[in-house]
Amino acid sequence: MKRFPNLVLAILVAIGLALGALQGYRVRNLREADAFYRWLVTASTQLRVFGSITPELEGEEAEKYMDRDLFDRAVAKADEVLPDIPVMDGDIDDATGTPYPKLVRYTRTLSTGSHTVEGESGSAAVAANPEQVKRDAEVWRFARSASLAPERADFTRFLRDKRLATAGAQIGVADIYRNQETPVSIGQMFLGFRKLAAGLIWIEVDEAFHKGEMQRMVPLMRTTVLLDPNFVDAYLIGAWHLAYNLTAQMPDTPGYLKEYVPEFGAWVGNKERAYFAAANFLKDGIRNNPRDYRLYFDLGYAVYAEKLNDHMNAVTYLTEATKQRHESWVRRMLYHSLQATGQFEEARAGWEDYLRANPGHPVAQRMIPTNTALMKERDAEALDAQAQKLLTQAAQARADGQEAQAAQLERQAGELEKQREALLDEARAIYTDLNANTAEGDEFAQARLWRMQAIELHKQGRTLEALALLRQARMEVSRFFHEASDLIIRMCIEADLPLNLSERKRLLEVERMKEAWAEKPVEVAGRRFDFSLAEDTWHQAGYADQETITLTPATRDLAALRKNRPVIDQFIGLGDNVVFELDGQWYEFHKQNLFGNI
Amino acid sequence: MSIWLASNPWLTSLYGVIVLAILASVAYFTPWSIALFTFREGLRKKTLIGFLILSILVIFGSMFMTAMMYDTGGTVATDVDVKLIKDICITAISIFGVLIAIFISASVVPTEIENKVVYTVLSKPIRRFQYLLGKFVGVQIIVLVNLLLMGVLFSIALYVKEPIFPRMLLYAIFLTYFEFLIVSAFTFAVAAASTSAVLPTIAGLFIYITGNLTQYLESVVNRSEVSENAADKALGGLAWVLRNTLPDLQYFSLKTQILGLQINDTPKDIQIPNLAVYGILYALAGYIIAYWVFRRKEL
Repeated sequence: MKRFPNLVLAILVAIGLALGALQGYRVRNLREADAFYRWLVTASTQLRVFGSITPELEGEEAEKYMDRDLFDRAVAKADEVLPDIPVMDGDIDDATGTPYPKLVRYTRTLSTGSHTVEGESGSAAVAANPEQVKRDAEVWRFARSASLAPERADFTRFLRDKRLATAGAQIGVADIYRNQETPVSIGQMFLGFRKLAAGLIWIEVDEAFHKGEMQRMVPLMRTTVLLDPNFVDAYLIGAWHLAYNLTAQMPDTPGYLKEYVPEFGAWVGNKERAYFAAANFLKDGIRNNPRDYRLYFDLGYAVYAEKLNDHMNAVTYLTEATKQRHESWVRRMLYHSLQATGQFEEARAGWEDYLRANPGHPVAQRMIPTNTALMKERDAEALDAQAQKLLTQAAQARADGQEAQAAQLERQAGELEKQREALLDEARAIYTDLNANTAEGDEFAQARLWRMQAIELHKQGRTLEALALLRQARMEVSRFFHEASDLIIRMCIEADLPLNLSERKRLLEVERMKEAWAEKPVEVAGRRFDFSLAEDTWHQAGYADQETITLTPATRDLAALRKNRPVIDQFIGLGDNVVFELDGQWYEFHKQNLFGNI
Repeated sequence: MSIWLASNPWLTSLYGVIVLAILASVAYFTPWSIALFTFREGLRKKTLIGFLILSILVIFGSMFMTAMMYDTGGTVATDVDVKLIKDICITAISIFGVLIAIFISASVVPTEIENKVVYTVLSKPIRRFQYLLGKFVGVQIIVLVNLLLMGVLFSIALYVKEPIFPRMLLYAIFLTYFEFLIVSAFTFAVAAASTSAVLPTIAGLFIYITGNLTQYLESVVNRSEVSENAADKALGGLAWVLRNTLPDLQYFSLKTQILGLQINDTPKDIQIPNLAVYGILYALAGYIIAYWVFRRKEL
């Protein structure tokens, strides 16, 4: 030091910088592992929730994106490296009936049911599930382990070269903007204060909302979440603006002017476009924050159930919300949507479970008998359909001179009719009890009673009385309005009675919509579909009285098929009745199954 | 090799030993009287008090900024106001904290040269590296006290909105300090070569800004990789050296991430101590440069 002080100091500086640089390399490696861990969690969640980690890619895109390849490699390594864990409820893939890969099971959030009891809210005070913490730590160890080094290096390279379709903004500050057409991160321009920038832009969104400048809000919202992809409230409120406030002043688009958009799997007008924009915004949020129940809840309840009246998708996302740590109302909305799709058994089982967790809960106490009554009504309708079929066969037998067989068929039909009556009586008794035992009466039970009574009157030929009852009922129970209105139209047509102006208008609109459909075939996922006015059904080209499997929103098969092949959502989104082929098997989808008919 | 460097437990232990040795040396060699004197001098500086008052205003002002935001009134409660308070406060702490760190690091040595106090001090039986160490430690005490004060105020502002102990805030403040430590050390090195506080102050701001932009160099490296031009390759090589040698202050953006910790975030128990070590090692390099410059200074 005394002889060569400059040399010694230069060496010391070099050592200091080298040690710092080496530590910087270690920190960078940790950050890359952190990004890789997030991607593993996101990709696993996407596989579980959406059925696939990437959209169905074709041609050059399929070759470019490496998500599936990389994820498969990580899954294979995880099978070798991660300790075994038991297969639990929710770990089974509905599409295949087999457990998810170990990595997917590890990253699934473990729920211990609602994390709050009725009347409480706020997630901040709730501790994470200890087993979940253990599993996360295990995956985090795995993500930065030497055994996964090649995959991690490929991940970093693919991310840099924009070859990961699933790598959203959650990956990291610098990496976010590599997805954009900018060579460097705009996040760096904020010197690390991008979250503040996001917050300040969000205040602008709020101001624009107050001024009614909706057109300014959307780009500002997108910029906000680009700067801060973990700003979950921005996704929630942004989607609410899109689905509710933006559409509040919009007129409804008549059905015949709506356009079928395969990407959405639905016929859309202006309002629906905004609803799907909200859904996509929330899905982006899920991609970036795969473990926040609020995003799944808003997607399922606020958008799909409330706005799009698509309870099948609502069930999908609300189910996922209940798998995360969630508030107690999430489960209640799931059971309502299960009921709306006709899955009464599942809904009742859910309400029973809910009542066990929240003893004396008034809604659960009401919904258990409601679903029981709905099951009886459904079974009664099925028996009625069977009886009608037997009566038709009996009439045919009688016409063919087979009196004995006709009499036997009529006897069988009579038996079914008696069973039907018994079921309906049981349902009626449940609804009557519900209505009587609820302080201000149970609107839903009352509406069902009126409906059953109107249908009976109509069957007895007393259609005018049935119509009077329904017209009064729809005014008294607002949620029964549309169902009652449709029943009125059907009864009037069957009894050849005149319709009033609004009913004629409604009918005309539906007819015009169907005529428009009939005139123009639709191409969906490379298949042509034609609408048959006579059968009120969409047929895939090539269909000619093949044997079909019947699917309704309530069937478990449909849930499995949808998860396995998301393209089915595009087919069944065409209409209430659709015939389509999949892997050599023909399916017949009926949205309005039992309760749409009288 | 690369994965060995990145996650070898022996290397981690070696780093632990080095950091402990540095801290022990600092504790042993620091003339605490100089450090305390520097701290007391620093407290008297009006500029620092001004920055502190401004940061306090911003921290409490953040509560009013969110007060007029629209209440969604929907079924899902939102935490936008809490998030905004966190972001505004941590930004205020970062900006005013780094300004305090830069101004104090830039001025302690040049002011003593200007006042000629340094001649009196160095005439005592004290070595130059110790004098510098005392000054540097004094600066760090000032930075730490200011940071803690702002942190306490931030906690109060946050607690008023959300009555939960802000544990993550402690980690965020802890990380912020090590970011300041790097900026402060290199500013101190420039100040050691200077006779006035103006140049080191400008240099400190430059260090802070460039430290946040070193990731730009990575895109230069990436683009040079696909180029056939020799000049581009050379430029890419230079960018690679700089990228891997200069401190990257963006690493400390983890502080904003842990403040709004999401359930899908990774455990941060490894990243935080690694960043602390990163800060200490670059601070050591900065201090050695400062001494290298200062030991040849004619005083």
